[in-house]
Amino acid sequence: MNKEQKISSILNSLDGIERAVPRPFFYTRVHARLENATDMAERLLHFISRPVVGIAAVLLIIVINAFAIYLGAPVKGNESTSANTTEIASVDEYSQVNMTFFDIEK
Amino acid sequence: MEEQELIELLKEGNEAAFKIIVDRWQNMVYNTALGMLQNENDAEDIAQEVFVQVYESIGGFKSESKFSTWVYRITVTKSLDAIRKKNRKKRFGLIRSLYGENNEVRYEVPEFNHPGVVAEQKENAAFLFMAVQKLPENQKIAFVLNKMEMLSYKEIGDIMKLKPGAVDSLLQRAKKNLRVYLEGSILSEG
Repeated sequence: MNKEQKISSILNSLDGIERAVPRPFFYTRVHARLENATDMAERLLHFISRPVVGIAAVLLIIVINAFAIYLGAPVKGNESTSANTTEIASVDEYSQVNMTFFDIEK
Repeated sequence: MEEQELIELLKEGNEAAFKIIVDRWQNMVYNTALGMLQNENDAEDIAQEVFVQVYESIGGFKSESKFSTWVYRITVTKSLDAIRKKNRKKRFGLIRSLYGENNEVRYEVPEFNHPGVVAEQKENAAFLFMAVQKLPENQKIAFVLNKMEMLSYKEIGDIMKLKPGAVDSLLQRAKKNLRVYLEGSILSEG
């Protein structure tokens, strides 16, 4: 058999293939898995609904928020610097807006 | 019992209806998963997952498509997820072996023998399944559904949300790629 014939024979090797079937008692295994999945979901729901878990979650959110506020608060020493910068920027903008014809010519 | 009646009963949580659905569609689901995954344990695992999802998501089935089309879609999606997960593990295994103690690639592609292939074609089919593993996802889905589930282009198109012409084009490209792979890789060894 030459190469071309061999390839054609390989490509046609699934002709007449029959469906594979799962092992017996497939439904029993599916049912067990479904019950297991339901159990897991129920256990998770039960765990979440415990008061201790709820309080812990609220505390965690408070801590995260407090930390975020602490990180976001401006440092005291930098406050005057930023105010000065704003002031200087305003002066620059003012002088640019009020440029006269002579200023441009310079 | 009619399909629509079964679906309505399942939506009400009827366990007997679920058993009938599993019994009626299990071979279709298992065979499709087996074609995609080429491993009997993985196919069994995915088939179980598919029916668990059918049970849990039946409320969302709107009867806009055929029930079998919906089940095929779940099967194909779950099979692709499993293949991707396996490939990630394979890559991780390769990296581990590259930097590990033995410096050898541990993963070997196993030869797959589909139980439904006629005896005299077993060897050829094993070559073909190796080549099918190399196909891009869309081509693999179209090929498996067409060759192993004997679905028409229209049915495959409904599952893949493609027009029959696009399915035809996918299958043509799949066959071309398989031929190239068989010429270049498998038969050069012999």
